[in-house]
Amino acid sequence: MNKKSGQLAIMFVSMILGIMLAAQFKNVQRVGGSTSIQRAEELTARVQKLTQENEDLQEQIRQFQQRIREYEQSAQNTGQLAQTVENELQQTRMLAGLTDVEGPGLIITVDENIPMAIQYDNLLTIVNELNAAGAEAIAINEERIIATTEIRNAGNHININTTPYSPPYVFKVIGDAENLEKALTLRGGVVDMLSTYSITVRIQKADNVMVPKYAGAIKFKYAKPVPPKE
Amino acid sequence: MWLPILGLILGLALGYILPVNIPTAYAPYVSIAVLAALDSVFGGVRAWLEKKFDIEVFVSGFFGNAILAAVLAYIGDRLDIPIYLAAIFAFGTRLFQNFAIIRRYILKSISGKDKIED
Repeated sequence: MNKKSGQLAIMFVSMILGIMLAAQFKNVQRVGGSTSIQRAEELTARVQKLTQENEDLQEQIRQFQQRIREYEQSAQNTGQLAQTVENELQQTRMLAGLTDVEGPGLIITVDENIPMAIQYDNLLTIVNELNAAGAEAIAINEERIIATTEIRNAGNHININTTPYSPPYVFKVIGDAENLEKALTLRGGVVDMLSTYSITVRIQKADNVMVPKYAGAIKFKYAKPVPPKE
Repeated sequence: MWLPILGLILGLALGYILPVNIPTAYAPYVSIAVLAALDSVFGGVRAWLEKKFDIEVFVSGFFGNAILAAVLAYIGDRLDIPIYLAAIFAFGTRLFQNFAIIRRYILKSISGKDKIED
């Protein structure tokens, strides 16, 4: 084999290698490698979700403004009626979990002694017991529990209102502190059961618990109210 | 001996100046191809030092390995099999082996003593 032409071939090939290296280098500098591609995909999905949510909220704002105008008009006619409607609205918003509420109740800290001890159904059980004992508002890690709230395992986390959380889980509950505590700590009750799974439940009574409102958007795409029949 | 390095520098400069842009979606496959190409060049240098250099084997290996690695990585991605790991492992191992042999040849030529057996 001719030595000179061999060297020329190596030179030519290493030139192509050089071009590839430089192109790849520029590309990595521009985009930032494969991890940031993944990150970008993740963020794109988030942006799409948020954009959709934003549109829904805008729509909701328009609807509310429309309703305010209607109420204002009727308020000019009958101030009494407006007051009643206002009260009713406030009541409904409280029930739906759309307002921050405060009052006496419990702060419950649920933590695990071994990893992955807390499963979603443990949290559901606690919520269930609290509701049965007359809790008026519940939030886990500042996520208000409303009618559509899901509590489910998602990988190593538990999703509450589509936001992933990991232990400890802090419940904020408004209601009769005495009753609520008894409902949880009765012999053979939830706290007993959870302690066998290496889950510790710490219950504190508080005179003033702040339960935040539901932060997401509630939308009804399929359900429509049925007008009451006479 | 200096021609490959000269070629590499020339290529780097060309690649940097020319507006060659790889679409983001294909960047992982190009990186595998780059690794395969790098391996081929080291293999070529080694063969040249061993006086066993064959231009056809070298050029076909360079392009063949690069294309095969990229295509396999692509197919692996479609089938959710991380074939690119195999490519990285195979080419990476060979690259270091080739470099070790090249190193010994260079050391030998510098000192003039027989240092092939470490």
